[in-house]
Amino acid sequence: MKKKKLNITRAAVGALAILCFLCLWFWATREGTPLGRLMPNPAQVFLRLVETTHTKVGPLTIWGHMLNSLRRVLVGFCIASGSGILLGLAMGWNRTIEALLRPIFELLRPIPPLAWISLAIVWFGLGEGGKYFIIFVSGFSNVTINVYTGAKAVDPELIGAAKMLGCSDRRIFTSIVIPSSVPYIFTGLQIAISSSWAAVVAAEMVRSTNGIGWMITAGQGIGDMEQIMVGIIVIGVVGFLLSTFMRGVESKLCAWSRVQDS
Amino acid sequence: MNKVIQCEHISKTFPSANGDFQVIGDISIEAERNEILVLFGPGQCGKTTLLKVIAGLEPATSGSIRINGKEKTKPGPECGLVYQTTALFPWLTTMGNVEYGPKVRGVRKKERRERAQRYIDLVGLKGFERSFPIQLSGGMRQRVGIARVYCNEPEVMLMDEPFGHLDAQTRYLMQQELERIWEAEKRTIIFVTNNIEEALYLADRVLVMTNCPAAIKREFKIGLPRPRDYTDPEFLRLRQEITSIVDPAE
Amino acid sequence: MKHKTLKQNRKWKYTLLSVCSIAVFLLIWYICTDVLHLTTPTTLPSPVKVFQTFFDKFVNTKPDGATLQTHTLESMKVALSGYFIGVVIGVPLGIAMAWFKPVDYFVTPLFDLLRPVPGIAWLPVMIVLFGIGLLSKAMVIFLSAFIACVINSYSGIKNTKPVHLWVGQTFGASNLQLLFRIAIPTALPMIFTGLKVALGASWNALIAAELLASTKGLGFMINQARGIYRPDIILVGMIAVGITGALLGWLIELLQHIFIKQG
Repeated sequence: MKKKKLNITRAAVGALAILCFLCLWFWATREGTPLGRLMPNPAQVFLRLVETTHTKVGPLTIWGHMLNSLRRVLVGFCIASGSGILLGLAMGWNRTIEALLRPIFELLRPIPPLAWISLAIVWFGLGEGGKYFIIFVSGFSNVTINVYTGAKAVDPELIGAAKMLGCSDRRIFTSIVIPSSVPYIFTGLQIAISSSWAAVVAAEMVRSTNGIGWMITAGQGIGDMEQIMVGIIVIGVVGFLLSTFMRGVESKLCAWSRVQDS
Repeated sequence: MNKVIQCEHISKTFPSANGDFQVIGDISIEAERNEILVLFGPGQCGKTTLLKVIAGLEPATSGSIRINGKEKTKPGPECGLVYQTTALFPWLTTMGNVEYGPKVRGVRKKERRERAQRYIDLVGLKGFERSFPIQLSGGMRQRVGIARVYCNEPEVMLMDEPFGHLDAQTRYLMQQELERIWEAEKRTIIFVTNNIEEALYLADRVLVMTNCPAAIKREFKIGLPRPRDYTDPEFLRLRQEITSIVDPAE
Repeated sequence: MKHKTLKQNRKWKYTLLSVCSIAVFLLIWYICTDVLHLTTPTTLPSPVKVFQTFFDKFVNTKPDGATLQTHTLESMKVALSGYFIGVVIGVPLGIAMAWFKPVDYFVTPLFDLLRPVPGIAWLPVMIVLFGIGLLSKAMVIFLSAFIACVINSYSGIKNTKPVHLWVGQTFGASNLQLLFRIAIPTALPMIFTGLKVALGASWNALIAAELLASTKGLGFMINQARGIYRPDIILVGMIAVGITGALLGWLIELLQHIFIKQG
């Protein structure tokens, strides 16, 4: 009963906070103020948002732009996750692979993902390949590190128990190491999905002809603040949905590892 | 002569920065089929390592282990180990944990499910087949640990202070539970404990161990009828005698 | 004795493998470029050229108008100003949000609205408001650092063990004393993690911001080099970015060791 009451209070204060924020926004952008000349008020942004659902912004409506951005992020994310999980597991479990591949990985890791943009354009031109590459670079590093940590952190007692029960040495990897690493894999995936989304936006801002990132840069180019704000809102909403989806999947698959405070 | 397990002249030395550390002196142990052999001793030195060596999880520095006459060098299903920390697989349910041994050894699904269910019922966890270890209490987890080893039908069951982490009440309860389970399905058990009541309640024979390096001080045959009474005069007399010869804990 | 040398031998074997691996990587790169000419100098330069350009750039202001040091310092100037403000506001706010319920209830929803938007996405807004210059870039970096600091400080405080707080309360500590004497010290490792994550995010955002709106700095240098088909300068820039980022990260780790006596 107490918990339910707290949640209602929390939701109410939250709604109040957002309301205050909107009022502040309205007030700051009212007629005549310097900010009011540069920025639209919330109502204008909202109307513009609705308008973009059926009117084209550049080549596509907002749906078209969103789908393009989503396509890019999902492709890049999947490649990054797949390869990151494979590399992380391999390095964590096999010391030879670790000794061979980890130095190269550690040399490349300090380079911020977005610093690869120019090189990606040189290598892949102005097409989709370059964008996929940047998104891959953004997600790959985090996934690999987390999975690597997980594979290394497998409890040796569990491995002993498995052998004692009759598990062959070859099956230890699939039977014990991989399930044991799943929570770490998801930690990496969570970070990767937000960095991948940020990478899509950046890549589209730099070099693209469509997508939400393109939309806000284009808006800046023609001084259309409303377009920029609509873009930011969509970026926020999609980013939020992606993170929430990831967290949902994690809570389903990692229900067994919820750590309890003793 | 029904010797299921014969360990001869086992010793174990760990190399370390400050010179070699001998954990196990010269130990020879035998156990007969379906007897409960208790290794009783104070402190933490050597007993867990001895069980790990017998299970094949640690190599012995010297000595040999024979199960039914055949030499044992690697970990395997013929020696099941019930861990003090339970070492359950957290991503598997109770059923998943208990059927794990038969599963990796190739037993068909229907058969292994039935077998696992039998042992889950035997340890008193009926209804908890779909729970994860994190949802179970300490005592329940240890029951899963016991069921998992039982289900694999080992020649010898090794138990490393399985009730050490439980509170006193649950500990008494689990001792009685184990006794009941063993009566229902007899197995050869080598049981390690530092609790004298637990030792006398469960054992057919008690081997009193010394401290580091671990060695056998004396053997006691316990002839009391089961289930045992903690307050029985003979029980108390044995308790007094064994306690008086035990090394102080380090 | 025999066991010890066996373990040491294994360690040396792996170290040797690691060194060889880097050497082989460089060798393959060299062979593909200077020997087999599998790529043109405008797509992938040879490691030798990159090496030469790296040192050349320390003195040569061509072709983008400044030396490597100047660009690096310029980038650091922008990045660190945004970063510091982000930390100074973000860490206390995160702590306050985690500790004081009213702050949590009011601020967290607003923060959750801000959080999913990547810092770089705000650049066009900042440019329209503040023009192209240091301020708009610093704002973007501030937001990137701020968000990371809040998240980690919040987590750190929220993870304070209730047991520790109960102990403090039995000693009669006030709420503020509990915060400063118990909660914050135990949260320090996570706060420092936040500082490192924020640094990475800031540095990342900076490079992108410079690609889009700058006339100086490493991001600008990299972008310029692309336009004139000098991928060797691109690689030099990327290496400089990587090294600088790594050094700054080590600095934070050093501070962490000084401030946190326990590992």
